[in-house]
Amino acid sequence: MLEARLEQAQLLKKVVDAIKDLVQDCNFDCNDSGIALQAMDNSHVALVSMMLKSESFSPFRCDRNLALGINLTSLTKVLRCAQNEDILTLKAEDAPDVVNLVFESAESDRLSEYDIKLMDIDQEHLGIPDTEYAATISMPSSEFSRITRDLSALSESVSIECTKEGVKFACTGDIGNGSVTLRQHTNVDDEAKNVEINLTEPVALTFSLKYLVNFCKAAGLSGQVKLCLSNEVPLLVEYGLSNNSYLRFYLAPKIGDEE
Amino acid sequence: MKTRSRKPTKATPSKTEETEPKNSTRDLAPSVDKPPHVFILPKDASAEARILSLPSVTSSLTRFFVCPQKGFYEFTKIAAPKKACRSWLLAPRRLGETQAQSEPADAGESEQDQGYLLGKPDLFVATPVDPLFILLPLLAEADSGSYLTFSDYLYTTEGEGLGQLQQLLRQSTFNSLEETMERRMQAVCDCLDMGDGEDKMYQLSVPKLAAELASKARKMVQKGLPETMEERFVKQALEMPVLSIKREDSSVSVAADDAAPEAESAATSQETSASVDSSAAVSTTSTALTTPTESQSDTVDNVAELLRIRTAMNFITISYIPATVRSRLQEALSSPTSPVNFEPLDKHLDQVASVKKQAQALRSLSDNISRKRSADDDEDALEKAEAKRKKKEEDEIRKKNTSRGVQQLAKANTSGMKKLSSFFTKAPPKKT
Repeated sequence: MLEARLEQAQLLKKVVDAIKDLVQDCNFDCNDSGIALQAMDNSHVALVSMMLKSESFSPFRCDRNLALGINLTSLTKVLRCAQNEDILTLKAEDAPDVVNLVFESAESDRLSEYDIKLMDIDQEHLGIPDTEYAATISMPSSEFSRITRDLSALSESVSIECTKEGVKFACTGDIGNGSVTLRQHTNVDDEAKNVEINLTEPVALTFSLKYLVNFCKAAGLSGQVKLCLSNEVPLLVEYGLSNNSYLRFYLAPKIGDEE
Repeated sequence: MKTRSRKPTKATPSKTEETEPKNSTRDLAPSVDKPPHVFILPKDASAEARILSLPSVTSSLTRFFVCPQKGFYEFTKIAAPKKACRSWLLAPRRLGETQAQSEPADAGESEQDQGYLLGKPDLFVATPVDPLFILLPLLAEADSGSYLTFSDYLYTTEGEGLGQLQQLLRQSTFNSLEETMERRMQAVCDCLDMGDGEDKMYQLSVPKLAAELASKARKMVQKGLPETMEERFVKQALEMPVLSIKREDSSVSVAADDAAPEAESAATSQETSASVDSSAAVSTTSTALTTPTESQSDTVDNVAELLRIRTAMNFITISYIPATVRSRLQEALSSPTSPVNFEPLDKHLDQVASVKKQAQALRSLSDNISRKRSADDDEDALEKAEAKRKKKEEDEIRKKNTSRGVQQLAKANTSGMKKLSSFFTKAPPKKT
């Protein structure tokens, strides 16, 4: 059986909010190390990988490996019933039909309980190797959100060029073109506002802005976002969470005929 | 009266008072477990007459009324339909009172007025039956090519349930009955007369039985078959289907018929003109059966007559002839020496059957054509509508379960983007 208690419901709320616009249904794979999730979008060009380590829960108990197939729209509906500060407990039997969610309000004695019917989802699971990326850029997640939002007004795709000077996000659309360049930057007051670029070789890749905007819905989870690029491989967008938990997005680059 | 007598015995005295306040109230006796039956027995039956059980063809034991002078009677049950609310009210002297007013009214009123109410409306009528049919099982059973005397048949065969009859026939008053039975036996048997006062020996002769049956059937037909029988077995069997296409006239010639049925039908027509009752039905049906052409009408008349005879014979066979004799009897009837020549009838029936088959084929064909088209169209339309509805429903469900973001993302231009599975290898099925 599974029993996982989150001190703050907002973690799961935000994670699910960020994923639900990318995938409809997915399996939450539970084992003793935590709750993991891997799913691709309908076009199979983007992939989301989530890991909530058992340390993020207090307590966490999972006797047996479970795959909870959940429709994310349904999960969102139920999670809306929880407030950010509520204590959330996930429960499931060993061969579950439903997953049980309990929301406890810390200040009042309100206790709400919901069951979500589970579904059988047959998803292919991809093995993602640990890759040494040519370029790794850390920046405030709000900054990345802003860039993608701004550029998506002009075009559908963005080219990301990473050189020694900095990282340049550029796009060309019907009404004209635009670009944003970020340089390495260290803020002494707030670490979260740092921009850090680690480069082994220059990289230039083009990506779909719509997908990037979609990834940015996870911005609320973490102050910093990490972009990892290598030529000819998918872009990794990672939002780090506490206790080594993470939410990662992968996106296939646009190759060939560039507009 | 009827309504009152439905459940008379259950009515409490007070209730009777309510319904008939004018009458002096009277308690009715409680109902009996086995109420008596109403029988109608032959008039002037002798005092020696008895009711006894004898083995019969249809069931194991049947009750017969045996009178030394009048012979055998079987009981025919006349039952009202179950739905009909009928009962018997037996009031023995009421009729007498109205006829003979002179009779003193108060002479034992209490006794006279003892009527009787019967819940069941059944009536048993004793109807005369040929003793031949009672002997027939004995003859059939013993039939192994040997000749036996009458008493051998009656007394030595181990016919079950014959004990009562044997006992009865030993009485001197029943001697005349025994003679009658022997005479009837002669009618259907080959006879060996040893002379010098010895008893005659008998053996069942199927051709004789067939002839006997034929004469019985003719007699039955003469009076006209019961209406239901006529309708079911004669009219329906001969009915020609109405065809829109022209069919060739039947080629069955009248000349083929032998004289016997001719005379038979003549007799029938005389009979019909003379009597008004049930035989009227026969004449009307036969006119109904006639078709425009003269020669054909004759044929059809003959055929109808033959069919009536056959129907009557079948009825007698099923009701009275033991199963062991039936097949042999059937052979005798279909052989050329048969007492009735059914050949024209068979021919005609074959023809009717073929026409019917033709009509059926034609009908089913036309039915098929008209039905198939419309049914197909309907089905197609239904199927399409169903498929549409299903698709719509599925779409709605999918939409409901899909977030707006996912829908928006579906519009994204993914050209030039490879699938992630081309970058990442597929992991072993499940790590869990």
